[in-house]
Amino acid sequence: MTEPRHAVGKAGEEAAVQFLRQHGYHILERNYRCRFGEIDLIARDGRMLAFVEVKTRRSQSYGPAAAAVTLQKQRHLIKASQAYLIQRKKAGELCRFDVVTVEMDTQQSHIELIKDAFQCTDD
Amino acid sequence: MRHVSLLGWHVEENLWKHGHTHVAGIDEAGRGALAGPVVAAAVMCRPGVTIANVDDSKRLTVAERDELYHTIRQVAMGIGVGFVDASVIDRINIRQATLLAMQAAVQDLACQPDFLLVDGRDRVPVNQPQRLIVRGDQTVGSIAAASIVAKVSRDCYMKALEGQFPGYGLAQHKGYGTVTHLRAIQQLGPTVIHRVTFRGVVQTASQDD
Repeated sequence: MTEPRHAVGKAGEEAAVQFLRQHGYHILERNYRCRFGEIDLIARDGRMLAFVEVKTRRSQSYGPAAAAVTLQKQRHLIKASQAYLIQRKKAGELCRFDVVTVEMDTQQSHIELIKDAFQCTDD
Repeated sequence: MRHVSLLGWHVEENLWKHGHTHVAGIDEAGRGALAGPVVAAAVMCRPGVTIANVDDSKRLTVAERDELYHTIRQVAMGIGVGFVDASVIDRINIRQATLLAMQAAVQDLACQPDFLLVDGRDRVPVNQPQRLIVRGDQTVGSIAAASIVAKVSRDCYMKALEGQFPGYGLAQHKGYGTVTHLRAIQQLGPTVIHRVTFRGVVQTASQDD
């Protein structure tokens, strides 16, 4: 039996959605799943399509949340984004990968947006 | 002084005895707030496994609530949460929005329950059999546990919004109608996270001119 997912993680995701809306993003998909993995949020930001990874941390104790988007995770996201583009027939769209970090603490919380956090280099 | 707790697990124990293996308690937080979402949680305990010291989230200190949240997370078989935004609350009214959040919380559970214990008087729009219990958050263990999860999740969310909507004091009052909050609405006006159909928001905002 796996431990139930952190309800605070969910709160962080909801806060990230609110944050992105406030920054003019139009949310298209939440928790898009395909065989390459999951994309937390897919949003339109002006002319660009943004694939957003949300990282929630309860505190700084394990290092900054953004560091949790490892190289492996980035590869998964890139593959999943390509699956999405093909599946939704949006292959020609301008895309980028954003990371939203949500530091959740009982004392205070902090949200940060890293636009274009990493790029799809090969192929 | 703290009042005597009425809380127990006999409702769950009775259901477990009658063969229900996935009993979930459902409760909500933030129904009366002037800003932010209404948040519902579902907590499902393994038959025979109860959580000591849980109580209605409103009767606990912040520290107690936080500690219990971690215990619930370790002990419970499943936790689900559902958020419904202020804009939806304004559109469909708070009662319907609360039920929608409760429905989302049930659907958020990784493993579906076979019986629901719901705080309040309204049936949650899901197929499972359910028992509605007024003041269930004070009397039924898993509903009290759900009240804690809902409250902690919502508080974290509201604290995260503080940076985007500075000056309202969201981190302190979490969107509830305190004097500081009402004064801020009067001075700065309502934002997208305010429930503009709520009397406190409407009246305060229009007092300005």
